[in-house]
Amino acid sequence: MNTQITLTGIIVFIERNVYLRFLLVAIVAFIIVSIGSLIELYIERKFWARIMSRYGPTEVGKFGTLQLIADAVKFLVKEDFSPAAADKTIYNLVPVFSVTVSFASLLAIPFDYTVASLFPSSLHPLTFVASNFDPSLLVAFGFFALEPLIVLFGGWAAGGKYTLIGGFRSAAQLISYEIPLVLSFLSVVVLTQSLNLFQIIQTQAHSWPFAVLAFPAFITFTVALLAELERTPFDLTEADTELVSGWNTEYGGTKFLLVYLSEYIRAFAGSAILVSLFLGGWLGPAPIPPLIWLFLKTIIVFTVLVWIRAAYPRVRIDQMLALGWRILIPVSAVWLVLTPFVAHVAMMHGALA
Amino acid sequence: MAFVENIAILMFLFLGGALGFAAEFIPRLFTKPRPTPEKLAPFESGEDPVGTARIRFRIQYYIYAVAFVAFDIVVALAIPWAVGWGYVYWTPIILLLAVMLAVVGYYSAKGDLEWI
Repeated sequence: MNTQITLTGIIVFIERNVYLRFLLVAIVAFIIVSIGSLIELYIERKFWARIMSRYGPTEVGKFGTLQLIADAVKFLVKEDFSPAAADKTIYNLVPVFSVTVSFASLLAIPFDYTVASLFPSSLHPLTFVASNFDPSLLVAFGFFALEPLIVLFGGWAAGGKYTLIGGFRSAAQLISYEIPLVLSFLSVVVLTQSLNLFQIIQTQAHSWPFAVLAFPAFITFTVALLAELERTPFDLTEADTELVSGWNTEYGGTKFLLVYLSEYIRAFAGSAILVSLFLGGWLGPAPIPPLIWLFLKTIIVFTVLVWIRAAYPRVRIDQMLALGWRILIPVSAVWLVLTPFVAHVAMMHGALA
Repeated sequence: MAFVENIAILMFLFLGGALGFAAEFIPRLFTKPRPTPEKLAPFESGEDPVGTARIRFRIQYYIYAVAFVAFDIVVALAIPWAVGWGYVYWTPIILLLAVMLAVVGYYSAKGDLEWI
């Protein structure tokens, strides 16, 4: 019996066991999203500060790069407490649920394929891909749309008035922007006739980017995504000038760290879904690895979100609801019905495979 | 969707949950809570808190919620059409979307979408 342990041996062992295989995929996704979140946080602080003629973090580490580590350590060693008025069980579990659900929405994004394609093809890269299954887009949005519900739970359970108002606003936001979000990504589904994010990206290899072919859907999707991510101009759930810190006012220490982390994981997942649906995912003109393309595009989309955050004021709740119901829903519904004709014309002119 | 994809979903939920749980509950072993009544009171801008936070909420949320439930079903019915629009009749989905838009228009005109 050969007991020599080699790297290939370990990989073959992991490949044979389906649980280990997908656990490895999940760990890889976690590493990618951790790096992504750190970069996002740094961009958020530095780029936002530069737009506002500030410096942002400068003291800790070179160019303030270690400030994030310092903050994380501060949160980890803080005292743990639950407010007396809180519903303790829900209050303490909401951060865990929030991170879990945000992380699960990364499942459908083909980061695992781009990582697998870095390795030699003799290892069957496709066996290590979890994202290539049929309704992957629906699964991702299922988890993506759960977060506002968790925000409502958290706001209610914390037992403060500010948190409760933040939670209600989150529910209203979910209600108003869920429908335009789904209707806009359905336009892309009409163009590709597939709910598989993997196939949607592969179709874009032989066609124009869907940001051009489905331009109105691209705009409505971006606006609805901003609202679903609860970022400015739609960050009514944590409007810091009115609600202190919104629904997470009563969270401190590691609980706040988790809540904050899940917000950035969601921003990363949302940007990656936008990139995969409309901007060609891992495809790109220059011959650099697909992983770098997908990662780079995601970070660029996030940077645009930060730019929007710095440039626009927060909308009022009535303006937000009116935008969702009176503009986004009609525009995205009408465009959805028109998309098959666009697909037909595009196919005739070779703009769509 | 085959059985293996369910395992993938399970593994993602497991890893996320395990890491979240560890990050929240392990640091508690090393920190000592020192609660005071002021620390455990809800934050109300430095004032003493007034009453409880279990308040009644606006009826508008309910109106929006009812509309959302109805429209979300319409949108869910649009998903199979979007996948197979070349093979199915278009009439039902166009009717459903038209009814949805008519209802939004009626809501708007009636003033129920106003946030008073």
